[in-house]
Amino acid sequence: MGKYALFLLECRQLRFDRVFWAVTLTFLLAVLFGLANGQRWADEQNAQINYFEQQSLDKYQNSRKQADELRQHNAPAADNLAARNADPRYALGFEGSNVQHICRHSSAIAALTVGQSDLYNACILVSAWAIGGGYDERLHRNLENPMRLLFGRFDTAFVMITLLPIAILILSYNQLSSEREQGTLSLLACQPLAVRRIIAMRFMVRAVIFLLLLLLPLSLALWSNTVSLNHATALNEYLVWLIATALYALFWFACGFWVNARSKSTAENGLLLAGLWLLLVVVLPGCLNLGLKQLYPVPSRMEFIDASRAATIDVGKRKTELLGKYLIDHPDRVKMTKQVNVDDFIQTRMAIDDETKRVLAPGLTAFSAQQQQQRNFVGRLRFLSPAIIYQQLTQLLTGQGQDRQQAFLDATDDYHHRLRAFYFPRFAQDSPDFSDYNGIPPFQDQPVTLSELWSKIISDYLGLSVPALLFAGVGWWRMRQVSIQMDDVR
Amino acid sequence: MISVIARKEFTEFSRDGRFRLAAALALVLLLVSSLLGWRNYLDLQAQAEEAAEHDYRRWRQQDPKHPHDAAHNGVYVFKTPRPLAIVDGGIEPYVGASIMNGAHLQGEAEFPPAQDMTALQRFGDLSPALAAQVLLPLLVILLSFSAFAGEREQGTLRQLLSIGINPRLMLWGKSAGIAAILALVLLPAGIAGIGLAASLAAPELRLDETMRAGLLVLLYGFYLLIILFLSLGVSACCRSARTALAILLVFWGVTVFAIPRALLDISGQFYPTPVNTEFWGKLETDLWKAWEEGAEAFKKKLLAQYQVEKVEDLPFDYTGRDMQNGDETAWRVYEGYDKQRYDIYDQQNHFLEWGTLMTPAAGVSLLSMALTGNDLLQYRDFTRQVELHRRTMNTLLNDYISAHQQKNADGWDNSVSVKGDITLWQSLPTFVYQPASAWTALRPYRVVIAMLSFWLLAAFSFACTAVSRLSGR
Repeated sequence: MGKYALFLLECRQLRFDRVFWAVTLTFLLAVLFGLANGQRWADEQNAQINYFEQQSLDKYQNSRKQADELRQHNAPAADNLAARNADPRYALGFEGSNVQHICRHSSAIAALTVGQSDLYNACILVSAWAIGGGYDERLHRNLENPMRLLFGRFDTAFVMITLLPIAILILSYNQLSSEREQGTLSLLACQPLAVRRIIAMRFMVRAVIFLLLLLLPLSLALWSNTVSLNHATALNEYLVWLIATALYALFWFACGFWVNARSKSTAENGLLLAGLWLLLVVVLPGCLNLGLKQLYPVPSRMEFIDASRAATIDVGKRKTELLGKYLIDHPDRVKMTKQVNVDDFIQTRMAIDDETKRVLAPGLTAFSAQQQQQRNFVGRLRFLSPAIIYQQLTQLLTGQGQDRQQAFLDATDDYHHRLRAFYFPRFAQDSPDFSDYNGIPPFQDQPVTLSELWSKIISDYLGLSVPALLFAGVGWWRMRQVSIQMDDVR
Repeated sequence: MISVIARKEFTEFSRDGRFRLAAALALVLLLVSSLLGWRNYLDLQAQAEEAAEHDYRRWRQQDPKHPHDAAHNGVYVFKTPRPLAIVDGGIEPYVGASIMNGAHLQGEAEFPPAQDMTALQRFGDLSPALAAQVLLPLLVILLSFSAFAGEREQGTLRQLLSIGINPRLMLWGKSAGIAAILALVLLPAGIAGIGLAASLAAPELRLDETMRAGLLVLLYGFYLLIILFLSLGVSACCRSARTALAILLVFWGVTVFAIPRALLDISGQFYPTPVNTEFWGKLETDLWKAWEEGAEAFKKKLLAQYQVEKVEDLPFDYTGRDMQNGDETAWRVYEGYDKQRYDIYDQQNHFLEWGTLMTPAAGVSLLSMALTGNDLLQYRDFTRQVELHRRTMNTLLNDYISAHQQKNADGWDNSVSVKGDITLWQSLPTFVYQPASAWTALRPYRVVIAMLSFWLLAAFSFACTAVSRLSGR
């Protein structure tokens, strides 16, 4: 019997395997439900991003228009701080009325996972003075139900990482042991092909058909919902994800093959596979999480608050002495006298602002460094569990992970510094003829492109396929002994 | 007879290498997660107490300044963790434990630790609660899936029945044997946990904390009993151990991992969480509107009351009262929005509560969070107490402004001439969170408790029915 004939035979057998069809259909429904949830989240995020970007654009155009109108009508110069703040002919007024919301864009295939994006705001208000100013920060707090954050989303990534192995476990745990327990193994051994070839083909057929039935509808659903998937980048990202998913599934099929090759009872196979799943999907990631918190603890936020408050107290004292915080928070009440003129006030405020940043910088740097250490730790040890590799790669490709958020925050920080460098000299010598609109630095988000990720993608593919090959190879080797062990079974 | 069967099961499992390995692994995980949780708890507690003490000291020792300056500087309050947070952190990592109490706006908890953690946290924080909710049911399944099906496969079930043993006695005997071996492994850990919680709790909370720890042990015992009877029932129904195992593993995987998430996602479709921009934007608009309208109405009222035309002609300074009026207006607006938001959360969480009918794991998880003080309701209670403290602070400062504003040649000086001093700062009481008692914390979960009781009853009835139909075939 040739390989093709065996393949056809196994396919015919599969037609009558009710467990296979029930599991595959249930799992497909779970995947599509997960995709719908992910798509809803991505749509909400995009709506928010569109809203803020439109708002930022409107603000810019209104400020320009207002400045032009004031110039046309030869409006008098501002004679106090509040008037200057409200007058877009001044750099101070233009910047104040034109504060931009900067948004983090995810990839076109973001619907595949919510990832860490439900923990962060998609948009941040950035001005020359601050990133996410106090009031803006308060008014844009994440509103998600903490219980939903705790339990996590039922998205495609969750279905793949957590439920896919269970589905494969059910499909594979008794492929050989049931033959033995039902007494049909001897019949199988009478075939002209070696038992291990038959079992291997059985696994292959199940794996191929299962993956086809799973990934084809998923691809179609994603395609029909996400128009931008027509772009080459999105398509490439999706293909990379598709291969990773197939490799992850094959890893679990290989586990099933190896477990079957151990020639133990069905019950033992089930327990071993369940144990493997528990170890790789729950225990190991949980232990690594605990470990990294012990090895690279991020400085406590409480200590950070404490230290920041202590560090800024001197600055605060100077601030109170020079301006009064009351006046910083209520500039409308600043009385411009001969002693306190507008330029003095602004220059002092800028100096204090620089000083505050300088005082806070070490704490923030230590915090970022420790977070980077944590990410490096996870990056190095992700190979311990295919579930971690798959999760990290999915979040990387969809732009819904911590790496993307960090890159976005870095770009935001850079933008903020460029805004300061542009505006502060102009604030210091402000006049109602600010017109260098083209010189205003634009936000430059630089999400990592797929081409920059190839080495990581290849290593992740290896991280998924090498253990899969290892399990399959050991299983193949061990299955040579199956016929000998039949005597023991009898 | 029951004790004979129980002893047989007990001896068999105590000699079973697989059980010993699984139990040892579960115990090690429980122990390691408890020890690390303990360390984390001590760190967090020390940090929270220190940070709160330092910030309050800064508040007390701040230089003389305008009281509204002081309100803007504000004071941080922190939620000190309870010892049982070692067992179950609940929603704490996703909400944060520090709130800045300042001027004008209600504080929101800041810096949720989850934002600073890697994506690994999404696999679940390895805590004693996770071990108890995920690993221990698996251990119970491991012990019980072959209880009847295995006997049937080996042909010993027919022998037992043929000598006239009542199947129900077998059920009692087997469940007692399995419960005994589990108790041998887990009860010392539970008792040690209760002792640890009692020793770590503050004296005034010790009784409540001990009671909560005891109830937590009871809860998990209850949960494991449900799983035990279910597993024995399935084992009695199935012809082979492998079928029983497959059914139980699927039940475990689906009820522990899939259904709770799916329920919350479905609840989000029926009761969608407000979009950040819309919610906060609307709140901001309403706040400004209420401030403007409130200020105008208040001004008119005062002018009419004192029969003057300008606020400058009032016999007192208007600033302090205006600020207090603005604050009270903001309280009302925030209360409305808070209610709107938490009502949605409640409706979403009701899905999980009623979902206990589908999966006991959902109910156990909710009660576990409630008992450890880290559920949404107790978090809301904390934020409410913090807000009341903020109101006290702002009222104190506004009253001071009203009482101490001076009139000079230019009229009432409403900017910086009033300065609060150490006496004023010290008159603000420190914030002390008063946690709800165990019973108060559990009261909102009566439906969940009823459903878990129903599960136990149903699982027991199922097991009884299944064994009563036992036959050797």
